[in-house]
Amino acid sequence: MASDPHDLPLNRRAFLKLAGAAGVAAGCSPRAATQKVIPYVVPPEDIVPGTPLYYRTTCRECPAGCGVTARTREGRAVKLEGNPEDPVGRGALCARGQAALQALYHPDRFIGPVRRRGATLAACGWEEAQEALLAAIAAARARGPGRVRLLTRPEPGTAGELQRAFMRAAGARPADRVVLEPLDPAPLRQAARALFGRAEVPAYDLAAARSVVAFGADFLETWLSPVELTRGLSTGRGRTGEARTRLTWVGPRLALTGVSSDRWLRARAGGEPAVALGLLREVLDPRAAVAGVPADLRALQPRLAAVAPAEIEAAAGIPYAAIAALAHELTRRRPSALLGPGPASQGPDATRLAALLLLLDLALGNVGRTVRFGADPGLDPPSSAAEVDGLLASLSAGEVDVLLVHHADPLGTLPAALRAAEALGQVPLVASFATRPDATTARAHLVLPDHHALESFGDVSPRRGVVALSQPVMTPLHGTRPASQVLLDVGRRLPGGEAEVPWTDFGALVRQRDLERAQRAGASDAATASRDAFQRGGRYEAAPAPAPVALAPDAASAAVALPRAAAARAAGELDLVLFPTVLRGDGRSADLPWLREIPDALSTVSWTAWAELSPATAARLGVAAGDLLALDGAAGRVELPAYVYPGLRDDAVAVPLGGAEALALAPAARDPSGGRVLASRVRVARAGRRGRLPVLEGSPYQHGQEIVPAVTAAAPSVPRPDLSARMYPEPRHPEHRWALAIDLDRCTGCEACVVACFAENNVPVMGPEAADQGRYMGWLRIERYLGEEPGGELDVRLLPMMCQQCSSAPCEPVCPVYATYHTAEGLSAQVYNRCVGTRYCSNNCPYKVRTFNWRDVRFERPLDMQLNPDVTVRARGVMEKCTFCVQRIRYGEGQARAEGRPVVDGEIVPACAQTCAAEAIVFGDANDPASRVARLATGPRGFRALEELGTGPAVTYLARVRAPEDES
Amino acid sequence: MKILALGATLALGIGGGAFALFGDRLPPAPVQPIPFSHRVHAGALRIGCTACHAYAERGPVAGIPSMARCRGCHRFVKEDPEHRPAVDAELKRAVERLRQDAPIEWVRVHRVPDHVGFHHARHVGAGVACRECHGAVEEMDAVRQVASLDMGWCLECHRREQAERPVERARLTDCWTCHK
Repeated sequence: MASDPHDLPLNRRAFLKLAGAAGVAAGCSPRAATQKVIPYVVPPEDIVPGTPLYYRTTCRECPAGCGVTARTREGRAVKLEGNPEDPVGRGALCARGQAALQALYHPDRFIGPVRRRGATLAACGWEEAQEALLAAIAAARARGPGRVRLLTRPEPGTAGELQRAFMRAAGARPADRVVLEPLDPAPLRQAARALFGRAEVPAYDLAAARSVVAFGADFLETWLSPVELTRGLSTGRGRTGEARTRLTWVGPRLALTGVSSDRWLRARAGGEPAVALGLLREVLDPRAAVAGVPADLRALQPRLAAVAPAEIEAAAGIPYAAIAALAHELTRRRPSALLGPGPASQGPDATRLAALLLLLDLALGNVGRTVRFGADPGLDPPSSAAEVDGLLASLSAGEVDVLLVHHADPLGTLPAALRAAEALGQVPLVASFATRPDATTARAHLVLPDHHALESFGDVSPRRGVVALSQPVMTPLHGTRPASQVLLDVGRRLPGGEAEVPWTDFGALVRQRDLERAQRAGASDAATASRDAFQRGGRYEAAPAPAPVALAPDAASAAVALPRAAAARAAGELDLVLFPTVLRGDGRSADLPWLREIPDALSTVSWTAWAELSPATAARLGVAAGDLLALDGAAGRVELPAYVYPGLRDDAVAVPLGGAEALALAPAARDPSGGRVLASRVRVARAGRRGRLPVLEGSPYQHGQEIVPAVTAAAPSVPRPDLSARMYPEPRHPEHRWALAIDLDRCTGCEACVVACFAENNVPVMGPEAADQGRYMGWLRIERYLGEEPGGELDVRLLPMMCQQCSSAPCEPVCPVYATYHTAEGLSAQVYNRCVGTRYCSNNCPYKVRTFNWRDVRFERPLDMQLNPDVTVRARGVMEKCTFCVQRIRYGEGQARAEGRPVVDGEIVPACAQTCAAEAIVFGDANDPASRVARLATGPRGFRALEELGTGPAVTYLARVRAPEDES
Repeated sequence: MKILALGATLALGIGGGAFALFGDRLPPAPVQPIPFSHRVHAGALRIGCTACHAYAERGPVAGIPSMARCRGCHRFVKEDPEHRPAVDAELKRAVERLRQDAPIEWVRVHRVPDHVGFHHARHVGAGVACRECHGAVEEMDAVRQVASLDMGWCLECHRREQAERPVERARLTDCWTCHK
């Protein structure tokens, strides 16, 4: 060490020089402040630091129950992927499933029980919380049945069994447990009960269907089991001609699912039953000569024939010829599947529509083939809207002392017109098991936060033959407690409770139940069999044979009543179409940063709800995109920014579900069979102000550029530019040339890949202000074009756009500091710590796939625990872009090298391809002619984005197939 | 010379770590919470590196030995009456710490920046001896950094290895081999 600096002769100039140098040195130093390394006390057996460890569990974001493989690093979950062994998801997850991780690490999560003190919720201990709950329930129980109610999400498994036992211990009647599923296809269940005596939702085998017709059923987004149904549809896609599955979308608004369709029947809102009736009329027509129609159904033919096409046309709002053409297709292409109704067509006639669709399925011979009854285990069917409303009425009437809310958010998912907030206000104790604040916990008196699903044991049976098991993939982050354990503890201490709730530990109970399943299955070593089942993620038996159904003639006859004509429209009134989107869902996970940041695939809007108008209606009202609209309905009034969307009828306005705006507009009405009615009419007017509408897109039109071409059976290949004349030699890729093939005929724009990319690559969420400025950081975006020119034919085409890893990348030679360069494997590499942020590369990129870090992003604790340690967190001032998940490539190569073998095709899968339910994205080595990617890329449908520029992209798109109208 | 020494002092005082500018001086060994001696363990007792740094041959991280691993020996080795009383006292303190089941918060010595994906097993597997990067640990009481661990230093070796077999080892100097 030097001696005391005060002893040294040091003039001012020397001092400044040194201080400056020292400052620079400190700023540049790779050595951060002293770091601690803290060893394990006892090392976990399975963990090798720096290597991933996988656990199987189950997604609980929606009732579909897809299997999950959670990748953990050093004891924390960093990425969710599907479980390839699970027959429901088959290895894929949807956008919301991918985003469940952010619910786990949500900074707002309750870290322990809280109790209301005045206007705020204050922390209390578990003992205090459970004692308070116990005392309230014991007191309520003493006052007679019905004083304790439970509102829960569907729990078709041990948790549901426990809940029922608990409610018995609390002196409740079976009806006091109400199951709330906001997007439940209740009309379908009701119709199946009336027609076939089976109150269940059928399973749809779309892989076997040659034609699919969706009546507002957004089965590629939220309806029933979207991952499974997407897979089913995609098996019949990606080919030309007759073998390709055809999809028809029926409804007033072309939803994202409709974008995958070949034909859109623009029925007016509420006109769908008339379309279905018209179809049935044509299918049963003797001239159609459909064989195998049940006699009871055939008997309805004279009544149907008596309905005049003009009447159907008036009720449906579309030409009868279009209905007849679809009917002709369905009679010719069998089997088919008719799906619906979805939330977007859940009008007052929804149950009748569902019945008509089931009758069509029956007439066309689909029932038992593509429409399979007997698969719904019916373990915990959602309560009807009437039952939910009945609960609210009881609450309002002061008949309830304790309301338990288990992963249901009545205030955040039920129409505001039901006045659930007032109803809850009449309950002395509202106890919620929510993991993070929602609209209901804002009114709750006690919050007993549950573990996140990734921290819990559990089991659900989404269908017969499938038991999806959940296990903790990491130690709980906070001082939470499993809700089922709380019910168990409290239930046992109620008078006589031990008889109803004879268990002590919920996790042990779940394992015990599985052990019993193993024993029933005849396993010689049940303990091992059960452990294997947890490791696999569940118990999967072959799908049960479809149950035969018998038609109830009376119900069938009732369903074919004449369609209701459109009611007269008051001035300024439009049909309100409330539609779910894949990112917003039913609103329960709409606060997750990824889901808010990622733009909606159709509108490219992020961070806000919006109201869609057709161009003609917008022009009539004098509204441009971003102007605030005032929507005034019987239920309520909201102001929303307008978005002009040609995929909507002129007599309708559309608002996405999954937020307070749609709930404020939704009516309180129920249809005759007890289903929720989402359709209504609203007066729409200009509010006279501008709203905030962050849209990502530039122009939604192709302007004759042929950016996304399509092919037909007649012209099955895409014309490619002649690129033979070259000035420079092609770069050589001696070992591998990593490449992607993306089949646009399979891609549905579901955005699961986008969320997966955010999760895998530590892509930052920038917030609404940045979105306004177009500073979206996603490495992968779904581009969508609405047609050639504004006002022209609506022809929606999607194009997932990520770095094209060009052979002659325009971004590379313009970098003044060599921060981006071409690797020997064909990747356009970005070296973050070399980048000085000139943004020349971004300016020179024709695909606009490079994003710039305008500011340092903070990953709010504990969100930072989700960060993938294999990917650098980029700092302010550097460019970043898709790397083809180079960390996964390196991992795969490392595994192969460790085993002394070459990399096998299909072994390395980037995050986007991994989660693609449609299997539209295929990754591999283009140097290997036998690889899947090479074979796909050389097919006739292959094209490259802006290929004429000569950039030589590594991404080959396979053109969407257009089925000509006359093909039917 | 005086000025240089002063510069180093200032830099360390203000930001800590001016070695990058002021020659190849590496930081001295940090003061660890327990004066664990590699000279005794790796040198005198000839305990192999991977006996404690268990993951060096099978993972990206060599691993700091768990307390359980320490206890494996120190269940028996509880005192050292033969040597200096100071050593004996430190040992007893460490054993007491082990008894409490609390981890020892070591001060980190070797660190590569976050944007580098260093993989121990790859290097060990390629025949790089521990001492090539970590120095003669068995001669150090408190381990200190002996190599700069900067990119030039990494590349020195990568280039040398690549020169031997340029085709197979073409990737050794690719940015994305190490940068993540």
